[in-house]
Formats: sequence, C-alpha cells, structure tokens
Amino acid sequence: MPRLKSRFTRRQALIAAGVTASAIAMPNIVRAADPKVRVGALLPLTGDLALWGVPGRNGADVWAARTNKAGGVKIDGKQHEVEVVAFDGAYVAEKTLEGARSFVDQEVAYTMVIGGDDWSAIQDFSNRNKLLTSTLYVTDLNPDSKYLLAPVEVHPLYFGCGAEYLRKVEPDVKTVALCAQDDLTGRVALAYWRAGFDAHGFEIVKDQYFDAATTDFAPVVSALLASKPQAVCLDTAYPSFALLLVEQLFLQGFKGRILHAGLELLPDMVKRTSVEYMEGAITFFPRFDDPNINKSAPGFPDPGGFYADVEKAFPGGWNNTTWEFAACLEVWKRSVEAANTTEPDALLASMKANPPAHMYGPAVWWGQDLFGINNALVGSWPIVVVKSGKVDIVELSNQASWYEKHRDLVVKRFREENLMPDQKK
Amino acid sequence: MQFLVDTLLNAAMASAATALVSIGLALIFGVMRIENFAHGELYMVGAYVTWYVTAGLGLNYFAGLAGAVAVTALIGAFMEVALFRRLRSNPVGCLIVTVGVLLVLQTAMVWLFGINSTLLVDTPFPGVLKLGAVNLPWHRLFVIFAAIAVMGALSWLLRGTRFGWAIRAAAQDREAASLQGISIGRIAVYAIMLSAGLAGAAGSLMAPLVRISPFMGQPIIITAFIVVIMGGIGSIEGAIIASVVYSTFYTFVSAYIDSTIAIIAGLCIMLGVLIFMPSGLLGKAEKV
Repeated sequence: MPRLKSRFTRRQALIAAGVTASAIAMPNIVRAADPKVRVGALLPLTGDLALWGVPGRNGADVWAARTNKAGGVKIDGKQHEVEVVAFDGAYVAEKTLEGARSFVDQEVAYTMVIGGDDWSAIQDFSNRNKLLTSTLYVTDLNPDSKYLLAPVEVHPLYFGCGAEYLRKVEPDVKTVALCAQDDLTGRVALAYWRAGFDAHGFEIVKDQYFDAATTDFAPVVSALLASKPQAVCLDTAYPSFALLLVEQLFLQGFKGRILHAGLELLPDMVKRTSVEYMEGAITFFPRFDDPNINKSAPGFPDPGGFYADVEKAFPGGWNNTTWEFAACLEVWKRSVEAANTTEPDALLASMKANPPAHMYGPAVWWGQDLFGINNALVGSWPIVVVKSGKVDIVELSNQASWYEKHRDLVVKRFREENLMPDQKK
Repeated sequence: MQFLVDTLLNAAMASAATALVSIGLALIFGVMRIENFAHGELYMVGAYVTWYVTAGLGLNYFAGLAGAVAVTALIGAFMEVALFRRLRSNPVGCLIVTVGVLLVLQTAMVWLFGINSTLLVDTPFPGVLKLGAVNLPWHRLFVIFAAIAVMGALSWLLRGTRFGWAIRAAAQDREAASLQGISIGRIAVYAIMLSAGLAGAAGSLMAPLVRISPFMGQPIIITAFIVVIMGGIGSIEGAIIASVVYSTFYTFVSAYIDSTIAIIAGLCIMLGVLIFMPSGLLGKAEKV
C-alpha cells in the first residue's frame, strides 16, 4: 500500500493546534467574563431524605432560571447571573462535609441545607470558612452557629397562632389531646403547642410521645381518644406517621378538629377517610395554586407563576421544600442587592441592620430567647384550613407578636423539656 | 371500657402478625439451625409485592397476597439452594449470609421503588364493625382471622401430613431423619419456602395498616427474635404463646403508658422469662 505523503509542515501543525486549543478555550474565556454568582444546594439527593432534597434542588433551579430571566442579581450596579451548584450530601456527615469543602473551592456564596444532622456535620467548617448557610430547622440555631440563618420557616412558632385560630373558630372546644414522635423535632414542637393551648384556655387531656419506630398507630390513637378530646393535635408527626394517625382517628370514630404542621399527605388522607372527614383540619403550609397565594406572599415574586413553572419542569414533584429553598434564595437575593456584596460578614451585618422582607411580609430577626442567637427571620405565617379536600389560606398570623404576648408560657414549656439554651449545656 | 376493648383488639392483631413472622423464624431455626436475620426483609418484600400487584398492576388485594407468598417463598428457596446449602457446616457463615441478604433486599427495594415511604395498599375490607360504642376495623379483624387460619393450616400440615412429619423429624434429629430416608436437602428447601412464605403473608396482611418502607423489616425482626427466644428457640408452639404474651404486654404498655417505655418493658419481660425459664417458655434444655 503506497504511503500518503503529508503536505502539513511542523510549523503549520503547531499553528493549527494553537488555533484549535484557543477555539476550545474561547467559550470558557467568554463565560468567565460574565459576572456570575453561585449558590449551593447541599442536600440529600439520594437516601432517606431525598424526598425533601430533590424537590428542594428543583425549586432552586426554577428560582434561578426565573431570576436570571428577570436580569439576575444586581451587585454594585452590575447584573450577575445565578448558578445553582448541587451536591448530594445524602444526609451523611462525611458526604455533607465533602460538599461544603467543594462549595468553598467553587466560591459558592450561599449554601442551603435541610438542617439537623447535615448542619451538625458542617457547623465548625462553616465558622472557619464563613460559609453563609440557611436551614429549615430553626432548632439548629445556637450561639456557635454564626453563619447560619433560618430565613423562611421558624418552626414551631406558627403553632401558637394555630391554637389562637382554633379558639376563634371553635369557642366551645375545651379539651385537646396531643402526640408526637419522640425526637427533637417532636419535643420542640409539642412544647410550643402546649404553650399555645395554655394561652388560649384549652385543657390538655392527653399528651404523649410515641417511639419513632412505631408501625402500628392504633394503640397510640386509642390512648388519645380514651381521654375524650374535642380536638386532636398531631404536632409535627412525620408525613407517613400523620397519615396513619389520621386513618386511625377516622376508624376509631373521632369527630373533632385535627391539627397538624403540614398535612403533606392530605390527598392520601382524604382517600383513606373522606373529604367530609378532613374538612376543617388546621395546618400551616399553603398550596401555591391557592388563588390567595400571590396576595399572601408579597416577599416572593409571583408565587403562582413559580408553582406553574415547577409543575411544568417537574410534573408532580412539588413539595414544601420546593418553595422553602426558593424562598431562602429570595431572602438572600434581596439582602445581597441591599448590601451590594456577597461577602459573608458584610452581608450579615447589612441583613441584621435592615431585616429583609420575609416571604409573608415584613419581618424581624429573632431567636435569642429560645436559641441563644438572633438568626431567625420571623414574619407572618399563613394558617391554612382543609376545604373540600384542599388547603386554603384563611389568614396570616403574626408569629413574633404572638410569642411576645405569651413568652413566659413558651419558656415554661420549653424548660419542662430541657430545651432552653442554658439547659442544653 | 371502650379503651380496654380497643386495646384488646389491637393486642390480638399485633399477636397475630407477630406470630406469623415468629413461627417462620422458629421453623427455620428448628429445621436448619439458621438464625435468619433477613426474615424481617421477607416481611418487607411481602408488603412491597402486595403494593406492586395492587397499585402497580391494578389487580385485587388477594392476588397481591398470593403474589407476596409466592415471591417470598421463591426468595427463600434461592437462599437455601444458592447460599445456605454450601455453608451447612458453617453456622457463622450462614448467619453472615443472612445479614448480606438483608442488605441486598433493602437496597433492592430502595433501587426499585425509592425511599418514598408513602406507598399505600388499600384494604379489601374498609370501614368498621360497630358494636355499641366500640369500633372494630374490618381489616384488623381480617388479619386476626387470617393468622388463626394460617396457623391452623400449619398445625395440620406439621401434625397431620407425611410432609409435616418429615419436617418435624428433621427438626428433632437430622441424622436419624436422614437414616429413615428423609431427604434433608429437600426438606430444608420446603421448610425455608414455608418460613419465607409466612413472613411474606404477614407483610401482605399488614401492608394496608403500616408504613411500607425498605426498612420496615427491622422492628418486626427484633420483635420476632425476642418472641422466639422467649418461646424457646425452635419451638413453634412456644413462638405462638410468646407472641401473644409479648404483643399483649407491649400493646397494653404502649396504650396505657408510652410506646418508648413499651420497648424497654418488652425486653424486661423477655429477660424475666429467661431468668426463671432459661430455655424459654417451651424450649428444651440441651445437655452439653
């Protein structure tokens, strides 16, 4: 076979290689010229809590796309595109820490975690590297969590307003029974509910924790109903627990009001009981196709449109974390634009001096009393009620003013559970 | 009074479900001397198969129940033929293999169905039977009657058929049974299929009442081991009696005091039985 003789000289080959390399590198050079700011979703995208992590990341992605379409984040007069960097921490300490390290390497300006164990894994790292982070668990706040914020949900503060609402709509109800799983989430929440019921003249006739390994909730509900309560509060029982508790309430003949933090599995509850049975149940997480949502959430741009975009991009994947992480990002964006910087210390100082608007309206920094640090942004929060198998916003309650009015009762109930900052040591 | 009746019903149902799982565990230990740590996962698989057949394939609940028994029995047969048979002379190896199967089944369910623990199985018997002020949910009554029927059938199988005699002979003395012409290998396969099928049936019966998750086998296997130890390791009758004693005690403590305390109290009652009856309620002491 005759050998082909190349007409390419070595010089030409070098020039060609140089041109090719430049062409390949060009988009990166061009991209590098675009001002960009990164936010991090350090969430469990696999494992037990992917149920919250994946919708959270999806919500952050949709929020970023909408924000970029509207011009991005304005810092020092320049528009910056937002890029969401995701890392699967799997709710495992080592992985979460690895994610936090990679976020520092990528100059991520703001990190979102679910809270609880994942925050515990990175608290020290966050302090040393000034990793500004948001949590959904206000109980993560402590005097050493300097760069941690609870900018959206301040669970369990809305429960006091829930008890007040129950008194308003059910003036004849005198007795209530409570239950929750026996863990920190359950204890903090139940302590606040108790204070709420104390404040509004309810008698707590049964008050019990159940083990988190419980699979059959019939004995738990039998014990609740033996005390003949007129209302039953399921506290912050995890969604699958709450479903089985509600089913047992139905089967064992309870006919009063049901209260629960989220009623996340309401469609399944309706299926296992009935539309009529769930009517009037009180909870605290609105749906975003509620006609009132745009009016009720002035601190979030076009919540109804956001919901529609999420449903289009991730059909059926909507969850409370979808909007909560997006709302965390919205608070951060407003704060960055007000401070004209993403530098953590300067940004924190600016946020503290001028509290940003909360998703549901004006807000204040709070938390010193119960958590030893004022890093929770407290504003209004919706009370929602089940109507025809769906939840509707019935009013916005002022969590901070309720707390101020009934502070002593809350402290007393927190102290009973050894939850006060001085008792935690 | 109503509370007492409710609690008695709950205790009866818990006893029935625990007995179904525990007698399978006792059976497999009696015949093969294997502590099957994957038994709880077979219960879990039974619940998942029921969910898949009813919600995924749209068939009725009883098809799901049959599917659960068939699938778990086949998994049991696979465990014996592919894993235990090679390790028959190595009890520690068998034990480690059961832990391996446990992890594989859990991971497989996570991979196939995700972590989502909100899968629902609809009961074929919705609603309640009203007796005065007492509500008796139909599905709970069904679980109790189904468990009694299964245990009755098992008792007949073990006591009234040649197959049952062979199983009991193998459980009493493998070598003697073998000398009488009983194929220990074949009996082991049938025994583990029976044991696994019982776990699958229990998972299927309980599926409409509990949370279906890849980890739902863990609490039940702990309970089953407590019950089997309390009843006397390898004794099926002991497992049934211990299921009733333990589940009734646990349910009453849960209802009248607290479910966290009930777990501790349950362990205490097991220790109490072992202090006074070291071989369990119906176990036989072995001379060393």
